Amino acid sequence: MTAISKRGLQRIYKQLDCRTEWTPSGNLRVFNQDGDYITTHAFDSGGYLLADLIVEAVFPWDEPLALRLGSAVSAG
Amino acid sequence: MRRYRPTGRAVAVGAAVTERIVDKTLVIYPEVIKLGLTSHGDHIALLPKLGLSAFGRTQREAMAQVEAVLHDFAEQSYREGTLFDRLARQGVRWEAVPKTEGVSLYDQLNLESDDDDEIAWQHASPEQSESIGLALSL
Repeated sequence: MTAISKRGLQRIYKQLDCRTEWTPSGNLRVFNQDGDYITTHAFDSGGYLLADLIVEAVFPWDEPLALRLGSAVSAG
Repeated sequence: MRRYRPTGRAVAVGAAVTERIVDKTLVIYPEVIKLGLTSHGDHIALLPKLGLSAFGRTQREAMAQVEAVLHDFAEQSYREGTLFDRLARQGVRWEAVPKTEGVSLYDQLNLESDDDDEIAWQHASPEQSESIGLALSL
């Protein structure tokens, strides 16, 4: 199962034209292409997050984005 | 390769976020938080219905981090006026209760544990569990 680094995930969202910003506690806040807030990702102590968890976090709020995200993280 | 494995423990939790505008605490329950461990020894807590996950050195820290993420979620969503709609859409049951200034929800509900690695919610009495919706599901 693929784990994505903080910076790697930020790059992927940029590729998908999604705005991101870091919270003071080091979490990644995500907005979709329309500028709607989607979710906030937290990472493990090494700064990684499993791809499955990333997609699951987005799926309830923006299914099309979650699908595109799934393809993007699979492609690395 | 990083792996996260379930510990086999799950607990329903009343996660709280401060609802600044109406000066109330938003209690979300009874959501099942799934707990697990990463290959690096981090504890992980998941709130599947909202797609939230968080990590900590202990279960307590992971759950506190969930609360922080949920707080951010609430703040961001509330600005858009969609928080309650979002919760309802995901089937998350919630209730706004009066906020006690300067007292955390943990303290208000008297659910503190002496053991840092235990789940605070395990200490709720059946009466508390019923009144605040914190049914244990171990």
